[in-house]
This record gives sequence, structure tokens and C-alpha cells, in this order.
Amino acid sequence: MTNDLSASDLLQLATAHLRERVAPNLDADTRYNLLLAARASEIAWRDRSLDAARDEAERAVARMSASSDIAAAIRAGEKDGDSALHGALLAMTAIATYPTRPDFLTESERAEIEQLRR
Amino acid sequence: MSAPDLEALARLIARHEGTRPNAALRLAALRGGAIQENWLVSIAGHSTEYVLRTDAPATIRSSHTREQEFALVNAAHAAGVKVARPIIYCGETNVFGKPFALYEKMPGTALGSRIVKDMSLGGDRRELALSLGRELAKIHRIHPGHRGLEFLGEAPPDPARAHVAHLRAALDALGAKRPALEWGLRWLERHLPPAQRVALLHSDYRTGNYLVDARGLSAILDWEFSHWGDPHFDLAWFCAKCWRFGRNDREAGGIGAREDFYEGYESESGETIDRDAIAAYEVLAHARWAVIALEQGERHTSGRESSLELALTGRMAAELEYELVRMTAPDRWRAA
Repeated sequence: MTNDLSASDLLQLATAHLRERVAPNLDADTRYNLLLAARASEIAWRDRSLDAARDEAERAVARMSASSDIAAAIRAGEKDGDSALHGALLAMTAIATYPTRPDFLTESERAEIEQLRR
Repeated sequence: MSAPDLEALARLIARHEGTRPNAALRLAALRGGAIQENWLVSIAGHSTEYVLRTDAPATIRSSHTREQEFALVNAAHAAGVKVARPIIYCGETNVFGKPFALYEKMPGTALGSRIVKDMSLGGDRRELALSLGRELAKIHRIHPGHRGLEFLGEAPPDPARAHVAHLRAALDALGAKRPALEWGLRWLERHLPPAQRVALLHSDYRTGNYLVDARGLSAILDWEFSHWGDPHFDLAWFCAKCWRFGRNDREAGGIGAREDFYEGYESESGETIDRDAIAAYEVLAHARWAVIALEQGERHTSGRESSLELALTGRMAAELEYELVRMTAPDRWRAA
């Protein structure tokens, strides 16, 4: 069955169909709501398989503080300008950003996250 | 909420606008405004249309009431700012079922994603950037002590620190542990410059919150977050990357050149913009938008209001935090 579409291709096809073939024929309010739903579907698709990577990235940030609350340690000024923490925060927020705005990320960040999803 | 009494509304408008008190009145829901409900009001035989604004089922912590918003628009209107003409604030519930404010409907669209793409809107784009700078300067001529704006309270002695404290309090109220946001807020605590002057801030002055038609700017909208503060706050909010709708080549709100916007502002105000202060306030813009996104998302996740739009806005916090962390790399921290 080599002609079968992958799930990813099928979702892209469906959302493109909604955007290009269905949305233009709808009134403004219905079109807006349809496009919101199409966007949510794409986000959910990109979000899949990222749970483990997200948890690990959050744990890496949490490990940057000797106390149990890294957010409180940052607020207290204990981690000002800390390079290692900055790197961990960047990695964590890049993973969180990927589902909604992969285009915001650098090419290498995107490639790394896509690797994690496989 | 009881049903709107359209006859009572027609009579109320007639008293202020000279329309016929028994004229047929039509209401139509308008989209837009996650914090308010907006209704288009048309009156038979009367060419002027109106926009009625009232609270949405759930609002967010930092927004003003409709009465306060009405007072702000009144002050701006008197200062010569292009705003929708304020007509009536009605605090009674026997007309519309809940308090509301009524404004003249202004022409044009406010849809940011459309304004940045559709060059037939907004007239000449350099002139649009200049005029948006000029209108902002007029807003900043309103100073603490202004009659009618007492509800804004005293100006904070240190507006920069007040912003950080306000955002931390909002995070705490949400019960949110967000290390990336905390990192950005700590950077702001260390690097936001002290205010050189304090004025009325629109506080949401950005593409998406003004109306344009084919000729140019018609009105500045959405005054629900206004407060006293450093004018650089508004200038930076307008130029911040998160409000360019993807048009990063046009740093002034995705519609024009940053220097044109600044030129309009400086020529109208006579003040010189501190470019370094703007850079720091653009970091604040991302932190603030991230907190607002979390607040909007919480309206959905709390179960108070089921809304896909609010849920998706909540998800935007992640990309704002990412940008915030990028903007505050270790080489941008001054030694303590």
C-alpha cells in the first residue's frame, strides 16, 4: 500500500482544503471560526509526540536550581544572567513554541525538535 | 441579564442625539473584543450608526469597567485624539440588561492581519505611520491629575518597577509557575530605565486597535487598559515584534518604518524618544503579552467560558516566552 497518504500529509491536505476550498465560500463569521478550528487541528498535530521531550526540557530547567522552585529562585535574583539556565530556558520554550509557531524557530532548533518527534 | 429593551434604548439615544424617540432600532452583534461584547446599533431614518459596548461574560483582571473606558475616551476626545465620539454611558440595567457605553461608529477596519497585507487600506503608509505617532503624542499630553480620570489613582512613583510588580502579581493570581517569564521579568527589574516623565498611556496602542479606511486613520480604539506610566511603554508596544503580524520588515506595527512613527511622535510632542528605553520596553511588551495570553487562556481552562479562541490565545504564551528568552541573552545582562 505504498500509495497511502501519511497521517501528516492527510491532515495537511484536509486543512488546505478547508482554507482554500471551503473557507472562501463562507460568511465572515463562519470562515473565522472554521479557520480557528483548522489552526487548532494543525497545532494538535504538531504537538503530538512532544510530551516526553517537553517534560525532559522542563526537568532540565528545574535542575538548574538547588531549591525545588526554579521560578522563585529566578525571581529572587539567584540566577541573573546565568548562561546554562538561559540555554535550558531557550530549549524549553523552543519545544513549547514548535506546535504553534514552528516558523519562529531557527532551522537547527526546528530540525532538532522534529527529530525528537520521530 | 434581562433582555435589552430596544424602545428604552431608542428613547435614551434620542435624548442625546435628537433622533426620533419612537424610531425602530436594530441591534447586530459585532465580532472582535474578547473582553467586551460589541453591538452595532442602527436607527431607522438616521444615517449615523453607533457601537454599544458592554462586558463579556468573563473579563480579565486588568481591564477597566465600561464606565471608566468611557471616561478615558472622553478625555482623549477632548484632547483632540481621533477616537469614536463618546455619546452615553448608562450604568442602569433596565435598558440593556447590564451597563453599557455608546459611541459613534467610525468607518474602516481594525483587523491587524488584514491591515498589514492590504495596501489599499490606511492611505499612504508613511503618512499612516506619522499620524499614528502624532495621535500617540496627543494621548501623552494627558497628565496625572486630569479631571474625570481620578479612578486611575496616583501615578506610580516608579512606573518601570510597577509594571514588573503588576505582572508578577498577575502570574501569582493565576497560580502559574513560568520560569521563562520569571527570567524576563527579572531582566526587566534590573534593566528597565526610570521614567523621565509620566503621562496617560493607552496601554494597548497597536495595529489591531485602530481603525483605517482607504483614506487613512479614522479612530484609536480599545482603551480598557489605560494607566499612568512612561510614554516609552506605548511606543515600544506599538513597535514590538509580537505586534507586527508577521511583517518584521515594517517595524512600526507591521505597517511602516519605525523612524516615520517616531518622527510623527517627536514632531507633535516636542519630546525626544530614548531608543535604548524603547528596546527595554519591547522586552516588557513580550512579557506583558505573554501574561495577558495566559489570563485569556485561563478564562477557558477555568471553565468560566468555553472558547476555542481563548484556548488558542493561551497557547501563544509559549512563543512570547521564547522571544522573551532570546531578547534577554546573558550578554544583555549588565553586571550587578
